[in-house]
Order: sequence, then structure tokens, then C-alpha cells
Amino acid sequence: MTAFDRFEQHLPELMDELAAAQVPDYFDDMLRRTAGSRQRPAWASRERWLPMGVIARPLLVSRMPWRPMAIVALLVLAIVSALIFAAGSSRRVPPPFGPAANGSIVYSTAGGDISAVNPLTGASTALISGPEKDTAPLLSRDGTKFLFVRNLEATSALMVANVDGTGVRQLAEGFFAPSDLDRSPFDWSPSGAQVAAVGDVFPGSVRNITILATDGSATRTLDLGLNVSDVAWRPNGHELVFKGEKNATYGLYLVNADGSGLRAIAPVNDLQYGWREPTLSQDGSLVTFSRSLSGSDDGIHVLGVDSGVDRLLGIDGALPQFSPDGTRLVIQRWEGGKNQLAVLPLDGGGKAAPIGPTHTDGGATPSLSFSPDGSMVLASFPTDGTTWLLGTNGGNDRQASWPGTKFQSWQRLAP
Amino acid sequence: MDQRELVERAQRGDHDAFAVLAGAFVARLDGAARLILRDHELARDAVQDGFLQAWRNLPSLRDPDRFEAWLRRLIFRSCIDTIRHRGRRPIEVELSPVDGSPTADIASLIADRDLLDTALQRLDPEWRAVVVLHYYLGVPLPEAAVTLGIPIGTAKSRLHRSLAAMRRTIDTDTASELEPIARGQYA
Repeated sequence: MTAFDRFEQHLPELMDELAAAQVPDYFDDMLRRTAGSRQRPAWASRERWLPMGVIARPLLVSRMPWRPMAIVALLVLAIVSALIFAAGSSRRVPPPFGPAANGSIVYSTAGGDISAVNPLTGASTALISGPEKDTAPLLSRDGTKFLFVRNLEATSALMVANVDGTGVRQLAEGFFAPSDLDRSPFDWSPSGAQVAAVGDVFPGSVRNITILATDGSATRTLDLGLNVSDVAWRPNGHELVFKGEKNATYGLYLVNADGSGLRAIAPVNDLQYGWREPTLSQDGSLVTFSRSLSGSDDGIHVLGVDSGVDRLLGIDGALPQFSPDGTRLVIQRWEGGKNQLAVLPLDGGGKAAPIGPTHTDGGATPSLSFSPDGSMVLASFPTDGTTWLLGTNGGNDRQASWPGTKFQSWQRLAP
Repeated sequence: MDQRELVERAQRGDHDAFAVLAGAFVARLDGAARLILRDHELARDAVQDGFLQAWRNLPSLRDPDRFEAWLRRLIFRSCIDTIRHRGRRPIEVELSPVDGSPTADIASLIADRDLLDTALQRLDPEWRAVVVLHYYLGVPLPEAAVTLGIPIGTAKSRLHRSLAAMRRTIDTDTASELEPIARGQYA
């Protein structure tokens, strides 16, 4: 019997010792707070909380023919939706990688819905709404569909829908956890016919890659023997790049989409923070990441996927993201206790140029991405709940009308 | 008055009934929050926020018999939100264990407790939540999964990984204490 076997038998008692269950000293204060707060009415009987005078008050427009009007409105809405859908179906689509024209931004709301917003006008449209908690939308490369996660009562499901919110279908259920969603846990294949998703696989104890056909026809899990995160599909359509961990050894790996040919892109190491937020360039030739607490080569790295050549850019920062044309990075730097975003050229011919206002470091990670045409950076700050559109060539910064949310995906349109 | 009746009264706005319910559960949930967050201030905030949500949303609870599970879920989600808002930064402080034990071998107990403290500290907080639910609150894994809003497979996997990580920590620490340090003596 090992020391731990002895422990496991007594875990409940030892935990009792460690955190004794005592009525806390803030209990009375807590009750004062609850007593001073009003209860929300039950959804099933909201009206009982309304004053009878309000409910019983005769409405001046009560004789309006609401029912026929509503039917006509629904018919008009259905026709308009069908026209929009038809127009959307027949439009040209952009190539799957590289610069594209800017479309709508799809984002998840705090209330568990998914909306689309026109970044020029700020006009929002609800795409997926209802009692379900939906989050983490990710648009396909051709901008015609999006994936999202639906949190059910005791599990979660990977869903797919058309870009206008129609055609919602479930692809898989059960392998996402909330913590999987710190970053988008899936990526579209170049053709849009498949999705690579990272999720728990049980029985077993590793987080693995599952390949799902978006028409629901096939699913397979790659047996890699690694705890996987940050999966990205290369433009060739048959290779995946991802971060992997095994026995506290970390690295970036390449594998064929059929699970064969697993290899480390660069020598693996024991640095838990050695391969942070890896992001693949649009042409699939480079992966950028940040490293910290390494002692020697902290900062932004750019690694050749095929060559394995690792280039340290000599600049402290985090969250690097490639521009669509692969010539620049947007990063977050820390200056005087504040976060400052900056754009730097990859050819080493210039300094990092700050963009946008500074933000207080509240501990929550912002999300950054270039617009499809590379002219702007979409930055969302969960700390203060704001979203910004920042010009990458200086100026034209503006705070967006929609709230800061971790998951925002910018639609790519044909140029 | 039984718990169901208290819940129903609290749902109708009887704050005294809610206070009785809160008093019945707050000690254990405060202990759980301290184990997960490992910071008294954060635990206090998470528990207070959870109870505030419970009071405000109590009328929407359809099954009064599920009050305890529902309250537990609110508190744990408040803890998880706290972790996420802090970006998983380490927030490690010493917990305040109870003073001694009148019956057990005190030295051994303190040593075991310290080892457990170290092992828990090294766990990811969201994994720690599963361990706390299962071992500290005695919640079966399917119910723990519901509490945390994760699939049962994920809960099982997290518990399995947590125990493996704790085993590594404890066995390593125990072995290092017994390693010879000089001329055959042991630390």
C-alpha cells in the first residue's frame, strides 16, 4: 500500500480537517444583502407579480386585429428570410485561406444566444435564441455556416447552422466541458466538409481530436496518446497542427487527419507555459506562440511547421495572431501594468506599433483577431466588457456597439 | 417544518425561511468554496454571490425537493466563474485547519493534512472542484457532473486525473521525506 492508498481511504476526513465546516462570520451580513434584494418572479407565473391595475387596464388598441396582422407579418418575414437565404446560397465564396472581404461578426451573448452584427452599422440580428445556452460560434472558411456549442443540462453538444441561423443540426454530444472552451476547441477543414474538435474521450484519460463530417455521416477519434488542445487544420486538408501534452512534457505536433504520421514540429520540453496560444498562419507554413517562465527564451516565437526552425522575435508579449496575408502579427504587451495591443511586421524590418487604448490587466484574457481584409483588429476585453475595432495602420479606432465576448468570429466574403 | 415547506415559503418571499435554509447549508458550502478557491476572501464572495442568486431566483425553482442540489450548483458555478475571471492565476493561501484533534495522532494527522493541502494546491481548480464535490460533500459523480455542468465522462476523467496527480504528489513527497540525506540517516 502506497502513501496515497492510505490517503484515499481517509480523504473525506482529511478534507474535513483542512476546511472545517463552520458558519462563516459573514453569514449575517450575507442575509442582510439577500433581505435587501428583490426576488425575481418565476417564469411560469410572471403575471402574478404585476399589479392587477396594469393587467386589467383596458388597452386603447385592443380592437386591433392582432392575429391576422401577426400572420401577415410572419409570412412577410418568411418570404424575406427565404430570399436572404437564397441570395446567401448563391453568392460567391472566398478561397478558404488568405485575405478576404469583411462580412458580419458572429458572437455569443452573455444570455446564451448567438447574434450577428454588421461591424459598419452596429446593427445586430439574433441568429440562435431560446432557452438553450449557446456559445463559441466559429464561422466556416467560406462564411456560409457556423459551429457552436450548446450547453445542455448535464452535457454539451456541438451544433452547426447556416450563417442566417437556419438549419440548426447537432453533430455530436457529450465531449465538451466548459473548460474546453477557453479557446475555440474546433476548426473547420479547408473544404468545410469536416470539423476537427478537441474534447474529452472516456473511457480513457486523455483529451483527443475527433474528426466529424459536417453532414453527420462519419465520426472518428484519433488515438494519439496525448492530451490535445489548440487544433488547426492546414490548407492542404490532410494535416492537423495541435498542442500536445504527455507526462508533463509539452510540444507542438503535426498529424495526418487519419491519425497517422504523428510527429513533433520542434523538440518537446517540460515548459507548461512554453507553447501558449499557438496559432497557425493562413498558408499553414508557420505557427506562432508565446513562451513565458522559461528562463531564457520568453517572448513571441514563430516556428516553421515543416522546417522546425524556431525564431524568437525578441519582443515580450502574448496572444500572437497572424494577419490574413501572413506579413504581420498582432500581440498583447504589458506596459506599466496595462495591456497594450501592438502590430509588428514579421520580416523584422520594423518595431511593434501600438494600436488602440491601453486596458487594465484584470486577469481575463482578451480575444484578438484580424479582420478578413487585414485592415482592422477585432479586440474583445472581458475585463471591462468592451469590444474594439482598431485600425492596423494607425487611427480609425472605435469602440463597438456590441459587448465584449470571448467568442467572436468574423465572416469571410469573396473579395 | 420540513425543508420542502421552508423552500416553498422562501419561494413566496419569506426571508426568514430562507435564512433557516441558508443556515443549514452555508457552513459546508463555505468550506467547499475555500477548498476550491484556496482564498478566504474569494470564497466569501463566491458563496455570498451564490446565495444572493439563490434568493433572487428561488421562485423559478420548479421542484422544491431539489433545493440543495440547485443551491450547490449556484455556489460551485460562482466559484468556477471566480476562477475564470482571475484567468487561472495561482491564488494559493494556507487554509485554516481545525485546532488539533483530541483523539488522533496529532503529528501524523498534521503531516497528512499538509500533504493533502499540497496535493490539492497543485490541482487545476476545476479538477479540484470535482474532488471537493465527491469527497468533501459526498456527492455521487453523476450529480457532480450536473452541478458543474459537464458531461459525466468529463467528471470521471477529471476525478481520475486528479487522483493520479495527487498520488504523484503525495508519493513523491513521502518518498523524498524518506530519502537518505547523509550516511544512511533519513530526513
